Amino acid sequence: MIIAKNIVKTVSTRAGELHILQGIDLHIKAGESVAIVGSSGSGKSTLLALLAGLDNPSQGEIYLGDQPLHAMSEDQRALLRADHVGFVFQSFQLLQGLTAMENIALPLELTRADKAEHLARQYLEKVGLNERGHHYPNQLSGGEQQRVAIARAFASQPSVLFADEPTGNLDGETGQRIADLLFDLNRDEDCTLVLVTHDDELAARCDRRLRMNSGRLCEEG
Amino acid sequence: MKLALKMLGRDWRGGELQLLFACLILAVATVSGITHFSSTLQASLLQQSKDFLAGSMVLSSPRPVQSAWIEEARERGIAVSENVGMASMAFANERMQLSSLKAVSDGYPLRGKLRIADTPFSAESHVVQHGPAPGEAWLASSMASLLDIQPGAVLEIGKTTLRFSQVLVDEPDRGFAMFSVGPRVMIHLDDLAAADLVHVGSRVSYRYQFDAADALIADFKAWLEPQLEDSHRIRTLDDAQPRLAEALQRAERFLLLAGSLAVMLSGLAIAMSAQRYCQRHYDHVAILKTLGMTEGRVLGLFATSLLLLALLASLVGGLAGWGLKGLFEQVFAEYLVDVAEVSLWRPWLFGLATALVSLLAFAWPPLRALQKTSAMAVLRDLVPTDPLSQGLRLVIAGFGSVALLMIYTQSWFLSLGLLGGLAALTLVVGLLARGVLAVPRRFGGLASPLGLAWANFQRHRRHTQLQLMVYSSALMLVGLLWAVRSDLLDDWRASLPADTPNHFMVNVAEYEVDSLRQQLNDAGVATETIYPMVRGRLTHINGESVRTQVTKEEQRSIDRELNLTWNDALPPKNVLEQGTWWRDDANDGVSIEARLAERLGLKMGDTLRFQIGADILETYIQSIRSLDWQQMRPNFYFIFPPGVLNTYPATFITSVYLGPEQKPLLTGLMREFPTVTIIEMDVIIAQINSTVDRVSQAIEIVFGLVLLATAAVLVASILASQRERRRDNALLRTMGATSPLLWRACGWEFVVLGLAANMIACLGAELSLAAIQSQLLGIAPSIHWHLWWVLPAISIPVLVFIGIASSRASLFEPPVVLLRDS
Ligand SMILES: Nc1ncnc2c1ncn2[C@@H]1O[C@H](COP(=O)(O)OP(=O)(O)O)[C@@H](O)[C@H]1O
Ligand SMILES: [Mg+2]
Repeated sequence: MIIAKNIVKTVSTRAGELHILQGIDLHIKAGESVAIVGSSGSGKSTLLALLAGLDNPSQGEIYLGDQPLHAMSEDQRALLRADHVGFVFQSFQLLQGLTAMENIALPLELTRADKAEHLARQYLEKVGLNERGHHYPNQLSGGEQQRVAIARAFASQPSVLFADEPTGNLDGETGQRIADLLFDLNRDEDCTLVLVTHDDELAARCDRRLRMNSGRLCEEG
Repeated sequence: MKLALKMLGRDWRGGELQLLFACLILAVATVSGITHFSSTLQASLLQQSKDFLAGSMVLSSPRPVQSAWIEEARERGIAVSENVGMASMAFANERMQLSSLKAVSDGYPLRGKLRIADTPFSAESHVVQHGPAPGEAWLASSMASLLDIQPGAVLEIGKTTLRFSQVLVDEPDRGFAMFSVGPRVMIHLDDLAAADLVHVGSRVSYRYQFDAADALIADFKAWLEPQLEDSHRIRTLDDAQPRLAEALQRAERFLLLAGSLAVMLSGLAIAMSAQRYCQRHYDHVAILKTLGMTEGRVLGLFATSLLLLALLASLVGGLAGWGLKGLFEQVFAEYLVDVAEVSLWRPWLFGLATALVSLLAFAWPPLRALQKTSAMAVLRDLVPTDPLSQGLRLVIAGFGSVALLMIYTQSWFLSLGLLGGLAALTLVVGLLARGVLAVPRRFGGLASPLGLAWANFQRHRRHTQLQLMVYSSALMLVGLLWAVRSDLLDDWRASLPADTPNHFMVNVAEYEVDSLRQQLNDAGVATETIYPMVRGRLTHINGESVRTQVTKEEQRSIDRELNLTWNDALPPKNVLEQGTWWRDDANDGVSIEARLAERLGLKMGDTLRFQIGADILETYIQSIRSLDWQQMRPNFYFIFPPGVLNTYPATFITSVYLGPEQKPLLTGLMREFPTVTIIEMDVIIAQINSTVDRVSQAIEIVFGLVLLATAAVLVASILASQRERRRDNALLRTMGATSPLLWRACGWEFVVLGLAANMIACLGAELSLAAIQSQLLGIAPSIHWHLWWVLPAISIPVLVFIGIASSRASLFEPPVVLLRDS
């Protein structure tokens, strides 16, 4: 499903070249759940962004399905994302001016406007917030906001879901329940999951764990 | 201080200060430039009024005045010149011609310039500030042509022989002698005695011009006034406002008004960009506070850097204002006489005050919020609560605006009126904007740019509302300014159409009327009505002497020979206000001009007694008529029905339009009709036309300033929401929105915003225009159709362009930012 060959990411800063990723090879099968762990600043988010086509590698090849991301333009990748990719962020990233329902419907409206409302309602129910559909993000708790974000990610029925520290901004118990929801839905939807976290317990629930260490990746147990 | 400088430098590089700085400069430049120019113009107008009198004060008398008065004036340090006017025959070339002779002393004119030329009817002339030398005579073109002589020839006046040395084109104080007996001959005062023209009983007028500083003149006037006799008359600047000055003053007021709009709009832009500047520094302050900085020092730090900014802006803005003033001066160059340079400091101080007041009123409130930022914001995303209530902020902004307007207009009436008007406008437009946004929430799917744009509006309702309000107000003001300008110009131009009569022919004898009309027609010159003129004096109103009836001021205006006429039809451009025009059964009264009737307190039916020569004529007011004094045609206070005045000796008057190519006709006409006096108004008309053009250019400059300020407001309002927009767009992109979609959505957003704003603006402008037209200009309200398409046609593309250009950064936002720790 996802293949990365020798990816290098280098950015130039005022202090000189910064080698964030230093040759990463990766193969993720369809339906698999993979956790990427590692200390802060080791390059996890950078890798995730590259795999999802949010950014271009400095070197190397990345395939999502059979599409060569490294050879595509930003807009081609955007269209690919609209159809195949879902996202969950550490800081939720809901649009403040839209209600929960509208936030969930947002990606659908970019592609399948006709079914947007129906699907959005369906996923709102799946994350257990059917009472809160017309509430705005600032009227929801952190956990509830992340539920909306998860519903939004799954509603477009992606083939790959990327989550960047989805529980990072939540307390232990809430984080636990969000993780449950994430894995349940992932199983139901039969979707590939790539998860970045430094919570070992969360990582343990994935099929595979990869450790990022100063720009290099190695398989764990 | 050092820290503040450092911060300023960093913020500048970070691109957060440029807009604030630009707005400050704009405000400072507008204020200092326009006030500077306006004081120059004022000084210049004052000077020109003095030119119009050829001095600061004029004393006229039918006899020479006591030499003690003149000596007193000289002792007080006042410059005095003297001139004597009378009708006299001039002989040359075996012809003779009645002239209006003016003998001037050395020093004449104390103010203003004489314009002379080398040949009669020449297009080239130059100015001098002295009269003819003894032994010389300067002749009006028509005089030279009547006598058929060229410069260099000799002519006789009375018992003296003089050399015709120059053609006299214009004199500063000629306004008093419009309907003189003949063309002008100007000689030196010394030659008058030699000519031996003044005898007992000859009608001579003596004029003494005085010139000195205003205070000296006022003192002298106070000293002189009690000693004056009835026949003495004093004129000062107040009586001598030439028409041109009035037009220029109106223009100046209009500039001032339009400039205040630019100032207010820059104020708004300053407020918005200051708000944004502070918002972006919340984190910064929170960290400084966790590091142990006190509130006072935070305030000090930011206040110092803003103060530095104000100083810098007032320097650069002052410079720009100076350039602006230069620009205006160039446009008005021919009206600006050399005035002692107005102080450079004053406008600059005005500019500095503008910058300070703007920052204090508009930037200080958000700064307070910044100061109160909690250190906790480092840990959590806290929006600082504003220590000042919304209401208080409005009050501060209101005071600031009034202060700004006061600095600029120096008139309470204007400042409060403008602010009140603007406040009412904002309120109304705000309500309208709310109405526009209350339409359906959704507008097609998000996959279409328009749908996405609409969703964006709904997402930022409050901000959209604010934007709509600001754009429509700004557009409305721009439209209003433009429409009023064209209304005004049209009005001015309409009063002087291209074929407006530009020559008066006076003193036409009765037996000459028919042949004159014939000659003019043969030459292809359209003739207006030729009016008879009988000289008469109004002596009694309702049986009582005018002297007891009206105040001294008004006596002056009627206690002289009036030109009475008769005509069977109502003259063109005259409007009957009351009563009826001559009918077979009603033609025994007189028709009076409305303004005079009002001044003298006359109403329909009042009886009037005129003295014409030795005869008495009793009549009553049968109608009251208003007329446009701006019209360059014979205008009369009193019109009689045909048949009443026929028995009195009359001369005739008419006005014609002569194009430049027809001017040579004059020479022939003058020979044919030697007693006819021709008054050339074409120079004055050309001057008025050029004034109108100048004024319109000046308005365009100010208009440019207003547009700049509007653009600044536009950019500031877009930048204000940019942070949020960046995040939104990044998110939309991760979810698969392509950049063309976002670009187009952004474009649509501004198109829709522009359309709505234009609609509100045009509507508002029409309503205000209707009020202005009917209340201020006294024109019938009309719909300005061009506004409805010109305004959108220009503003929407500009809006979309500026909108997209300033949103560029948020459109290019790479989606990766969402993964960065917030
Ligand atoms: N565009 C960039 N410019 C400069 N430095 C960057 C950029 N993107 C990432 N970095 C740096 O690369 C390192 C890895 O970042 P990131 O992938 O966000 O780590 P993680 O998510 O594992 O905490 C960090 O030190 C970060 O500061
Ligand atoms: Mg990260």
